[in-house]
Amino acid sequence: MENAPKIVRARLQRPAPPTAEPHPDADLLTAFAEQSLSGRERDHVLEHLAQCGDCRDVVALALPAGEPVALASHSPARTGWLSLPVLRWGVVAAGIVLVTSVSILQYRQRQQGKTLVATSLISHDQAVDTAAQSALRPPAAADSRMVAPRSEMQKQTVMAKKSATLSGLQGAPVVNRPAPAPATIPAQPQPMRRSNSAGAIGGPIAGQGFAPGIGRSSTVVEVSPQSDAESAPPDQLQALSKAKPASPQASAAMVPAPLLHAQPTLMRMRGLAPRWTISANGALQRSLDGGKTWLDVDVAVNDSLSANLGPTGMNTSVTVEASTAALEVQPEAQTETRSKDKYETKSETKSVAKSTPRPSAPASMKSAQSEPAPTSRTIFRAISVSSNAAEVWAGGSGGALYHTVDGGNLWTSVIPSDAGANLTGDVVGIQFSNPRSGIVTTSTAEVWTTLDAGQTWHKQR
Amino acid sequence: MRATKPISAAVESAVAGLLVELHAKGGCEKIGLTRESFAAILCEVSARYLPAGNTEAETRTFLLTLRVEELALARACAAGNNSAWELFLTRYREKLYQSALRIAREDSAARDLADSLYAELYGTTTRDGERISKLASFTGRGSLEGWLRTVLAQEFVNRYRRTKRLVSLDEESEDGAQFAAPDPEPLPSADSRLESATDAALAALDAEDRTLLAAYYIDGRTLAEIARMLGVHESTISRKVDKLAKSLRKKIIAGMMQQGMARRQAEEALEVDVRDLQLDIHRSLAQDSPAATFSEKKDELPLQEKVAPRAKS
Repeated sequence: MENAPKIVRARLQRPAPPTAEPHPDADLLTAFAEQSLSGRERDHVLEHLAQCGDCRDVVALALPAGEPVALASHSPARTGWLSLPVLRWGVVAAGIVLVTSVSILQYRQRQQGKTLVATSLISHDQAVDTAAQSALRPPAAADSRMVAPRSEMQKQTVMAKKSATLSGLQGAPVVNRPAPAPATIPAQPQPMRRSNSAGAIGGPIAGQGFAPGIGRSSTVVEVSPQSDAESAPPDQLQALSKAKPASPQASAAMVPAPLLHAQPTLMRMRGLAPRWTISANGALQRSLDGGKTWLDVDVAVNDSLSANLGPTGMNTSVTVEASTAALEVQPEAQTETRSKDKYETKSETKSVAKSTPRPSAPASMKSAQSEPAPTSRTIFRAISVSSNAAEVWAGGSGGALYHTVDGGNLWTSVIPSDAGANLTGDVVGIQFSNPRSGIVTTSTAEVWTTLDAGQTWHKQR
Repeated sequence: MRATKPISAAVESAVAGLLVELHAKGGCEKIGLTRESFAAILCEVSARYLPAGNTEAETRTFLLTLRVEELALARACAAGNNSAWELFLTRYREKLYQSALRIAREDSAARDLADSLYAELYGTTTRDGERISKLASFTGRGSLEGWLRTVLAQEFVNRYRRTKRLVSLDEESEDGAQFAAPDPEPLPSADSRLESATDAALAALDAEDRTLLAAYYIDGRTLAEIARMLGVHESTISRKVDKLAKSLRKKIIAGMMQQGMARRQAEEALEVDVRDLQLDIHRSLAQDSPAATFSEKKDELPLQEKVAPRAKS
């Protein structure tokens, strides 16, 4: 690691001028350490910390032992950090190709009316796909190629992408895969207990269908390079770079890949509390090993067996197949539209082979039909993590707001609603000072508050 | 508690609007906090942190970020409510001692630290006949547990890192300052162009970057610790440190060249200074050490300077 010139160290230690920020009180330092300070206040504290070694020591000493640091919910993920341009473009190009191939394939499959069984895996590369969105359209040629993965990384990437597609297929390009939803997986784990909206009735996923080892909503192939690329192991990075020009590898996503197993066990194995973050590309990520590895979390996946079948009797099930061949998408899923809908029930899950086909979402509550799952994958922008990291609120594009109380295995989609008006815009800020009271702010300058852990909401403005 | 700032109408009205909810949420009834007293507390806290011109809506938003249950508990304890105190003990006494142990890392120091804080929380000191509890200063911006750790850490740093404390913690806390100001230690003069180029390069960084550099290079914190302090990935910190070190070097050289130095000269100044500044670092670090250590280092300095004459350019 490069050392800073020593003059830097010396100058950093110059005593602060008299007009410098005064020592923050214990409350401010605590709030800072708990990521509860926003913008101006946080900057003031940082300005002081930059000059005061004692206060830095206090913040460091006061860190809870072994607990994860929750990301500030008020600020979007620190996206300004350096990212190798080459890698970024490689990733983007790979993503573009993938997206195109996937969408073409989905289209074909839809035509054939096949069903798909998806796992709850999410590809890390989805984040890439999202990034790829903004890039130019890839040449159509590349997409239809289904190349067997060459490198380990590619294979894994493929696998991951595949899962992504599997889980995300809804007839929309993976990139826009709605967060909650793989067509096959009932989206919201729990019913939303909100004032008006029905919220998701996430059908429970039939446990039986699960292949062992699958099933964790946030399981992901570990391999996929981090969305910000650098943290991936060098060989993956290289492979990714190579993917840039060729890109056919990316489309290999189509190749059926073995499912991930392991992860669920992994999740339970460690005693560490989960750590949460939002990647540079807006993917919700969780680390169960103290920050060494990060896996994307699919809030759509819900492996709750109980769920609330509720009055609707809804039961969607998901069967995960270890080696699902190709992507099969259920036709219905594709018709799902973006989510401003009240329920994000994932409706159907068609299974392939083993699983038992399930009726589409129910509706009891509200509604209707199969819940139109949002077609675009949620880009997360805000997250609030409780002190034990088991309870997390995450929100992002399109008013997406998700809540888990068990460390990310079961998610509930929450749609704040007040007197008939729903939350609009993107969720850009979430602050829960305790499990019950929280504030959600949106890109449309709305401020929503709850005092009962999300059951009822009040729109401030 | 006395209000340190006047309460604006916006604050009062925001508090009034949310009082019933927050009072209930805070469980104030069972710990003997009336609505009126809780309202006063909320007003005080709002006035303390919010800028004068805040709107009612902004104040409401702020109030909703407060940890009202913990705030109510702390203030009820400070007011002398026994059931509040019992509740506090049940929830926090053990944590207090555990945190003290983690901070002080040594049993007797930890116990001492925890005991003294415990006494301050209970309120054994009196001012004007009233028992003053440290809990009266808790404002609910962060968790009570975190606040206890912070206060322990502050006390620890005060006690064990400095031999001299100019002011006691209690006295300073009213002004918001918790520690004696560091003794300004004049650094030995480096090339002034190097210094000014370095200062400019550092000043151009944002506060978070400077904090990161200070924590890493001065405090010697690990990447993991810094990441947790700042709430980011450890890998992000690692990359950032590298990137900053490289870019600082470039900027400093560029800065010196702008002041008329040739590139070679600038690079040399940086390098030469590197060696000499080993001493400066020790001296600077010694600010935080007991005075005795500091004076030992001081004696070494002149000798070193003779040995490694600075190359002035």
